[in-house]
Amino acid sequence: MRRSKIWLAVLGLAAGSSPILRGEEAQSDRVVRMPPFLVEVEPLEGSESWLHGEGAGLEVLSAGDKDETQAFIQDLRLHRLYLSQFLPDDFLLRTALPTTLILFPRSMMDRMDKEMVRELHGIPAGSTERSRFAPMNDLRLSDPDSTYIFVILRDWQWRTTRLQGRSPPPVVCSPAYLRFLIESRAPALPEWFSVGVSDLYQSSLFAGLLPGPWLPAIIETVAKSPPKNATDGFEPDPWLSEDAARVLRSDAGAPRPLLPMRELFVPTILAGRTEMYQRVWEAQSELFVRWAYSENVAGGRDRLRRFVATAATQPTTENLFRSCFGMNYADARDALSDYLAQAVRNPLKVPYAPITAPQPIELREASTGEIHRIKGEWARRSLRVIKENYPHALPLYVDKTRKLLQHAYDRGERDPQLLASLALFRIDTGDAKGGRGVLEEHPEAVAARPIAGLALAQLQMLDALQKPAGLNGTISEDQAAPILGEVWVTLQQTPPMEGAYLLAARALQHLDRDPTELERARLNEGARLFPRNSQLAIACASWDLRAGDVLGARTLIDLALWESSDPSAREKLSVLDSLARKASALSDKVGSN
Amino acid sequence: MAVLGLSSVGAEEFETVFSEMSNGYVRTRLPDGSLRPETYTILKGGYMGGDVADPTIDRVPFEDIARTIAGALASRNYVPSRDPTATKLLIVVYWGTTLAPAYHDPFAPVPEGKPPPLLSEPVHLSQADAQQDYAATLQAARTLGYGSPLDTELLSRRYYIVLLAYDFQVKLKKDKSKLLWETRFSIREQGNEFGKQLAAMVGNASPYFGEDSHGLTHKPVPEGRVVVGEVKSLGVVPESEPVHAALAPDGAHVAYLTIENNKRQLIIVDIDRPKRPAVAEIADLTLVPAPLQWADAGHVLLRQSATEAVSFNLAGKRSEPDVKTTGLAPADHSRAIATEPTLAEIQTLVDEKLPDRKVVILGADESGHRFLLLVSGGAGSARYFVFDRPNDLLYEVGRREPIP
Repeated sequence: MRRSKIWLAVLGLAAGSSPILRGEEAQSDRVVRMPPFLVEVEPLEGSESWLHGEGAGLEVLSAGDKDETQAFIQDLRLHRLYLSQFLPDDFLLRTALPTTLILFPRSMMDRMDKEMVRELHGIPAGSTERSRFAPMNDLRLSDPDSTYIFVILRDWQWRTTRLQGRSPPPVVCSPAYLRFLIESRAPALPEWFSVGVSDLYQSSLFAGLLPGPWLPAIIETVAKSPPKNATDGFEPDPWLSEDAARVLRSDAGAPRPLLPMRELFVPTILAGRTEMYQRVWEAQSELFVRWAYSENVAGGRDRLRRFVATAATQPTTENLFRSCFGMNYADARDALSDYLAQAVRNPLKVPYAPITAPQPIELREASTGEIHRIKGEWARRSLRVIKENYPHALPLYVDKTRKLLQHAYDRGERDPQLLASLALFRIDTGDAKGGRGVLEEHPEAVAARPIAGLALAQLQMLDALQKPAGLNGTISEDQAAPILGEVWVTLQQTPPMEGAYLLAARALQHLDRDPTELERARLNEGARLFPRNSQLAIACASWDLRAGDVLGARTLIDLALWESSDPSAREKLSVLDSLARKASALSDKVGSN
Repeated sequence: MAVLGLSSVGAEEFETVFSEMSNGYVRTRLPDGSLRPETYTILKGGYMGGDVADPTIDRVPFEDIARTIAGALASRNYVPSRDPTATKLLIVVYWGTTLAPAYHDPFAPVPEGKPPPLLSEPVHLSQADAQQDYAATLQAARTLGYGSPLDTELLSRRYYIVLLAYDFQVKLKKDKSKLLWETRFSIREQGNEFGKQLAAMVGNASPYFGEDSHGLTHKPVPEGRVVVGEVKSLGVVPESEPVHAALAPDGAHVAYLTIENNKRQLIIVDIDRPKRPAVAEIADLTLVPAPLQWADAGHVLLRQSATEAVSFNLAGKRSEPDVKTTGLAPADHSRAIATEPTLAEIQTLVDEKLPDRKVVILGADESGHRFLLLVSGGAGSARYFVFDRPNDLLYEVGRREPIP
């Protein structure tokens, strides 16, 4: 598959460029990939210190050159503006908290990597297996409420190119990152769309359609593998393979596998499908997006947008498709088949409106508090990667993270974000009491980080379950009130968090009453935003039925049945569906009488 | 009404017909006296070649036989159906040549220089040979509806066709075979060519479809033009227009005819490996109505008559098929239809995959994994598809163009 091959190439280049691995290629030891650990790293002597900037949904901490940092941010923002013409903003994840970029010069990476390896080799591994360590040079660490991204700047290359009077080669956002932005959106967009549009976007990397660089970091691929037939649009469709595309270019009638549209628009591909089937599904996803963007479909972009947005909120049906594209599934399949030869032969041109460069973000020397806060949060988020990839190192890294956050706190730093990081770190590392203490003492920390508020509510829920004060083992209203209060506050922020809805449903299930109208409305909103969570859908639909809201229940059940492939959940949903239908029939009968 | 064939059978020729009803089957009539229409689908039961190669029957494709039978069935108000839930009859068709020991045949040709059999030295048979011969004639008697294996007509080879009409719904829902009627008819092989006599045989036997012949009857085959009824779409072999596509026995290739710049072309496409289709110019060839048939996995035959065909290899070059792989009966390599239980299942599957389209199954590969489909109902020409069952994938392989 094209995407996989490219990513292998990218990873291969990244690994090959690591000085840590270079001299040790012949060894067959296990390679452990570790996140860059920035706690004790400072800019090189003689260079500028850490830079900080904030605006346009970004927060930046950079150890790089000011000009390069500024150029990077500016290119990134410009690129995002172009991207918004290609993809509607509301199709991508949006967060109230800024996305934090940590920019680090490549020239400083060796020092940081060597320090990391030295420390890691000093850890008793408890096994005879020897490990080699490779840095994860391109890493995104996402919490449900915000994202941190580590980016390596090509400092000396960038400067050399500029000195030669040339533009530095483009840095581009990876299709995987675009896919993350699409898939993290709630309600989730259909999988065929995220796959299709990500694959199509990948074509633009080689065709140079989207001007300006964006997020990390497949610069090596672009620079070293220039397209042979670069055009001003998306490259022609690569289809299933280069051979298959070549044959179609020379013979438009050559055989081609195509799925019926009903099978293309499934929420998820059923387990047990063959690899060939899955390859066709992925290739056809891109073909369909291309077709909708092409001149073959009048107003195709708008039609596609409407179709995708609606398909995210209700089962995808032929009627929905027809209402958006004006044709049935059978004709659409034929149209796709007829378009295929054109798609593999010609670039896809998508017109872009001119864009005015945005005002630059002001960069200044970062304060100690900002450095501690961002480094501390990065270190906290890194722990889960370390735990996963090399648990032997966890105590060392936990200790370093604790020192950074605790020392900052002890020195009197009270940035709400820092406080939230400290509390979350304590909870993550087993000190729930300590974490809760910070959150209860500093409500500003809860307000600053939605997941901090959610963590506090979860601790309160555990307390309530341990000592339920209501009737017959239920929790009392007094116990439920702070939990639900925290959850509702959390849910007023962007993005909505699935965990918050689940916690609210759990708390209400332990109360000696059904949800109020308002509570039910909020929960139903969650079930519609996260229809793949059948647990939430089942709880909400049950309450709807008990409240006599048959229509509300059936909407949730239909959506959950469409999204869920889990037999157990489907069985429960089917029972609810049957009850809802009976209730509906009874209601109709009463109404007619 | 369409004339399906011209046949001239000698006046001394008799066709035997045996027809019988079972399990309470009764053909009902409408108030106006006409037969109440009944729906059916046809299934290829099998071909049993004789002990001697005979191109006049070996190379007649099932599609020809099925089409001829369909016309005759139409004259009896049997209506083809593609809806499994609404189909009443599953008509299974067998055809072939009976076995008969040559030494028993007083009409057998005498090789040059040899005395006629009756004047030659008597042949002494072993007991095993005698039992084998008796078994062959017994088998022939049962196949053709003769009351006794000792009937002298069985001493010579006979071309035969057998129609077994089963209850389709019982088969579909209970997977049981409930026979409703059967018609068995045959003519002597000697002096006849199956391909040429096919229409006459079927037309002569058609009044007995779904009726009782009350034992074996002998009917003189009329001379001249034989009208066997209007050709209608079969459940499995479609359309008033001839089928110009065939799936290779290994399921890897499809051959079909098309028109490019007003010239007929034979296209051979590889389904699995991306490569340019092979194209052969065939403007100089005359064609029979359903001319394509795979001789083996590497050769497709383009039939110009019942007995003549041009062979093409996968590169579209004219070539002779490998005799070893071709065998005696090319029809064996081109199973038209899958086994009984799968037919309705496959039809249902492909109908679901291609909604708002008319889907006709044209054939299957030998393993029953791939099925050639003709899909019509959309804008433009009908399209050929291959349904790959293991992968649950549909391959579009070509367009059907009217072939002059």
